[in-house]
Amino acid sequence: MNNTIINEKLSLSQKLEILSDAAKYDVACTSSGVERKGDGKNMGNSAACGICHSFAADGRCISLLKILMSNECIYDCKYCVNRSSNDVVRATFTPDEICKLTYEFYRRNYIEGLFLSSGIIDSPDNTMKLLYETLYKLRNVYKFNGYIHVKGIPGADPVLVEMIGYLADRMSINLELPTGDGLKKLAPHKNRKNILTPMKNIQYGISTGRGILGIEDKYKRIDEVAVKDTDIVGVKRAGRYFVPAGQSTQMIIGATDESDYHIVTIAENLYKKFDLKRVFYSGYVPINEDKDLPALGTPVPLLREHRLYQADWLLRFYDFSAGELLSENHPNLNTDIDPKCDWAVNHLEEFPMEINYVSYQKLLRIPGIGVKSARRIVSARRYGRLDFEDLKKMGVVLKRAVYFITCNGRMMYNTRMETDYITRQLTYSDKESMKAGTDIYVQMQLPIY
Amino acid sequence: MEKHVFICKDDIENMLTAVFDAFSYRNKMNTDDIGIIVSDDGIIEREMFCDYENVETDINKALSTVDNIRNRLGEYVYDQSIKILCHYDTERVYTLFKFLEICFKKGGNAIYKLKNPYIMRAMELARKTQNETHLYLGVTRFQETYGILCATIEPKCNAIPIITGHFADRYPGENWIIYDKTRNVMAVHRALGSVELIKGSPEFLIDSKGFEVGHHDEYVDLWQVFFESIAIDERYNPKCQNNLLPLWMRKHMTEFTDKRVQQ
Repeated sequence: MNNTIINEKLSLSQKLEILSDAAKYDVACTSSGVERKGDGKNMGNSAACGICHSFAADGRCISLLKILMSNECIYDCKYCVNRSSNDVVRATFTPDEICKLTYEFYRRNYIEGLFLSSGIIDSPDNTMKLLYETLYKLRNVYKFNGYIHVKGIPGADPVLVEMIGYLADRMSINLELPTGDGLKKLAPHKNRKNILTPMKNIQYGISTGRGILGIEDKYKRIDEVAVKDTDIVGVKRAGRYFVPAGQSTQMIIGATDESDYHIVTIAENLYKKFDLKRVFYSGYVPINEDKDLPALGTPVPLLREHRLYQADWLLRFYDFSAGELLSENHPNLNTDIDPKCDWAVNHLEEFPMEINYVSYQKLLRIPGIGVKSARRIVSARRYGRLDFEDLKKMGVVLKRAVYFITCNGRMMYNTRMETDYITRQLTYSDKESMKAGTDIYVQMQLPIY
Repeated sequence: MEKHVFICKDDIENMLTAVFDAFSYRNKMNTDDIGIIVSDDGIIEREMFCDYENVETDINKALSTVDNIRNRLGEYVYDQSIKILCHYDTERVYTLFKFLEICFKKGGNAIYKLKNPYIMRAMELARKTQNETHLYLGVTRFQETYGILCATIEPKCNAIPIITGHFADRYPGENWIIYDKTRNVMAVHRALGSVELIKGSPEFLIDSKGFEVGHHDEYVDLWQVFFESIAIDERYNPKCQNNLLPLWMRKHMTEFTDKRVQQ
């Protein structure tokens, strides 16, 4: 075939350029979730908080060597740059090339580890076998002890999923499109069953391992605890745990017309039922021309993606539920203010809250107070009453919080507890959309009179 | 009674000796009129009605301070204390002294009394050091020359004591050097051995123009290729990039400094 001839003539540098360019739309790139010390002889360890090694020109963190093993693909998913009907240069790494690149980059402290995905070569099982071969070599021949995140191929044999799970730290399978209909429209070769079955398998593997060793089989969220290698994590086989850093997935935002309410509900289900570690949202970047896709030149929905990530954080760390943030009547997130402020202004009966008195869970609900500030407040108030000055030093964003709190019974400024008034104040002073780093036109309230 | 000011150098053992001296002076003279200033060359603005004393490093005093903190206040407070000393604020040793004074009296839980300005300032310094050194875990770039991995960093805080352990755990089988250009100190690690801190620069690897001699490292170019191709053009955002990775940190990162060799 034409593709194979071109393949042999490509240098390592050219292959790297093609296959990293092809992998860049997969936004998952954290190196967090596993705390693993080195073994004293071989290279590699892992930090639970994850380490950012660099930041790309688009502002995203670079932590792993993110590549496809091959951009050949038998499928023709409409949104994908590597779809079989696109005329792009195809390349494939050999397992040795991937191992060598990972090893040498890691040695120079360029990366925390490897992120390996692939287009489907011949069949899902065949692709998984090649991925397994690469990971096996990396762990056992090159003796690499760093972080590995591997993408599972939908429709693969559960035995292969299990074998790879013992070599990787994190495994993920992309949901791609939030609903079954969307998937049918844009990726007809994939179906929900092929995607959800391996996700269930991985979840089962993780929870079984934890259950056997007598620990809680669900991840803790509110007090997010890093999984330590020395703590019991799961079933150990041949010295390795099964997917210790957990599972994650990715959804494309903006390619089909699901509302934010659909997406956030799906994310909540994924966290509860599949016990996923993270859900990633990727704003759709138009690269292919197709009648079923948004037109080329449609701007990437960056603000929407940002709001979805904010909602995601609320689900995981702030004890919110999807139903509290959105509903059928209110299906999309407010673009002017973040979801937490939006909830607060629509539930003014809860406010103002007295800082020196309310519980930790309630503190988390106050706009401007995050997990760290709430913890500091709870610790510090045991030794003395807190004042607005103290709060500012503890990292509370007073600009937002002043409308919702009292210190020792008094609010900082006299505030009309009205939804419209407070929303206006927050929108005017809230430079959040600028901080998201997007080219969004900041709406300023102009006095009409 | 005149204010007694200790002058110490930017050296952890010296600073710990200063803390020891300050405590013994305080207990002996029963006074709170003490100051500690960090100055490498001894040149400071002298105030009226103060008497100054240079602190000589005494390893026994330094170790005694460490033991005291560790045993009486716990590992976490000790960790924070070292981070405070690794900062670059000239008043940091005095802040540490006041911080420890409160902690020795009230116990390890005193760190939560954030209303107290000394505790607040101490925790702030520790946090600033922690944030900067955490970034350095990722930003330090090694280059292979003559089989030795060599990295240069120019941190504001004293990063070497904090990051060396991480790298020793990660690369036990390699010979590597991390050179702190601001303080002219290097951490040298021998393969399967321990780490030594040596004053000076790895000059035998760097010629007078500042370039590293030795065979050209092909992985530098490959990294450049990867770094450039991974960015999504439609999301180009240099402001965000600058926020997360300040320009002053990029001085010794190959992807921002090296020009690609023409293929």
